[in-house]
Amino acid sequence: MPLRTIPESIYKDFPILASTMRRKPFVYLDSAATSLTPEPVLEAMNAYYREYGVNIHRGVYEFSERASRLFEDVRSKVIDYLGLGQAGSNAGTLPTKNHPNPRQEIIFTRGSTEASNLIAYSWGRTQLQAGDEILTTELEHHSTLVPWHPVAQKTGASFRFVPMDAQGQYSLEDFLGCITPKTRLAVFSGMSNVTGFTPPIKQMLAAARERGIVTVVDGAQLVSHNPVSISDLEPDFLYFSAHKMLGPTGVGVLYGRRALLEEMEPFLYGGDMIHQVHRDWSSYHPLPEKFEAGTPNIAGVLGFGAAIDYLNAIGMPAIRRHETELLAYALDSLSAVPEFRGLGPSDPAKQGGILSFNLQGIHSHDVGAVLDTQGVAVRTGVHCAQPAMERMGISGTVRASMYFYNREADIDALVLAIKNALKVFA
Amino acid sequence: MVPSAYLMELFKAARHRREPAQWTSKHEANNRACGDRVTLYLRMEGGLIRDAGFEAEGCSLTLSSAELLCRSVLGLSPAEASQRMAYFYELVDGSAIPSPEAAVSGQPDTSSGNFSQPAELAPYFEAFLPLRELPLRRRCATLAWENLAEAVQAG
Repeated sequence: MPLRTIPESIYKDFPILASTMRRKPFVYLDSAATSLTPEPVLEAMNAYYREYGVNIHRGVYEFSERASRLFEDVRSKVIDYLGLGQAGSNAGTLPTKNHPNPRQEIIFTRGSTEASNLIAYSWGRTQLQAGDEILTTELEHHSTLVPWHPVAQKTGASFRFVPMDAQGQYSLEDFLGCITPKTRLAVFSGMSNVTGFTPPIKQMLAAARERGIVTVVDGAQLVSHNPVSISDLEPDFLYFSAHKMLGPTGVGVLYGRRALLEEMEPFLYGGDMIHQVHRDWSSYHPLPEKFEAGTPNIAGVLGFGAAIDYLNAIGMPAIRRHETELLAYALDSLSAVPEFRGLGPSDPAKQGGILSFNLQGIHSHDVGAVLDTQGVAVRTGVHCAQPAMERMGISGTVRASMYFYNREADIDALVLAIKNALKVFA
Repeated sequence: MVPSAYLMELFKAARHRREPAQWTSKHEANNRACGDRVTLYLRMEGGLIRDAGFEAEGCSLTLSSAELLCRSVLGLSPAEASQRMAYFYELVDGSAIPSPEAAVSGQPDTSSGNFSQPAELAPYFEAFLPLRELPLRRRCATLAWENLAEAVQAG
């Protein structure tokens, strides 16, 4: 029975899905790398450049005021999307007890990588010291792990890694077992980009909070595929990228708890973030501008606003449900392929719409290359997670990742292409 | 790209995928992007490459390229092996299709199955031509040859 969660009307917004690749119908199963962009997002960006493409926060004329207002409206949309304003509020303007001024806690960045570097540089280098422990996992994306390497080298802090099983899973108990009196910081992904595994972050965050451990959540996959509420999870930091949730590349969001952001030094210095500038000293704007130096990606942020509207119209719970059903369908279809070796929970309840696998005896690049000839786009290799590959003792995987615009027919095409790859390399 | 019959023959019948006895040089190259690695062994005797072999973990392109390398340098001097290498790089990087004759001016090798004549050599080398359109896979095919460059440089 076909899946019915997502309305058929969305497909007209993704004309790329009707195109061909290698002369075959284009089957896109690489949304964990970047999502496709619907027409309303393109329209929002075009409208900015075409109709009022001027700078924000500085002009005293109508077009600049319009651009500034629409830019700040997107910040409100992010606040609402993240449940940071009071439930039911219009555009996130009503504060909550824990977040009396949510506008100050949402920073626009160039993406997850910049947000992660911002935290490591501005918080890590000044707050961590020799003897402190950074608790993380071997499953992390390089953008989450690597910025902490130089911090550890510079401060003398050390790493502790939560043990994982052969499928790259760990439990709340595994996490708790690694907390020591020296743990100052816990850094982990809310949904693995390698396996789709979703650890019990709510309980992990609560446990860390009770012990005064600062928490950083990589939300690049989590926020784009699941309903997420900051008020519910209460991490100290969480970041994600617009381009994984229908928005353009070059835009991301850092959520930071105000008390922490207040005590941090700026990450980038320059225009827009300064309050006063004298010959030999300057002072900075309050949050969030303190962390938003220079002209931002205005069109990108406006496009991101349209992306959030688009996701909200479908509803994140519906998106999660659709991906769960699609993943179950894929796991069921592939269970008939004896060479299929899934990596990760292989349980839609414990993972997002990411299916990482190998075919017995065939290198992941070879599988990817054959899939390419069939018009099927997947990612192959280490997925920016070399420690995870080392831990699991493999050189790479094939990763098919889904979004709400994927259908059962895409999974059927994947299975057919996999069977072709098996024939080629048999 | 789906590997052609020539590539698949190199991949499936990789008879040089072994550590040769009495090797005289050993070089390893790693592709950090994907974790693939190739170790190339050569046995030099009297100024000529008398045996070649490899150990590798990698995709079919990495393995078939290493096998082609081993088959095609037997009986050659380091200078002649360099010519083959230049020919291979020209095939995967260049714009024109180089003449195989340019790459085989060395001593003919008499052991069976090794390529020493241009006509035998050409189709296996030319099977790597589609890589010109696949820059992301180029390093898969050149990994083994990076070892040869080092071996030749070391004499």
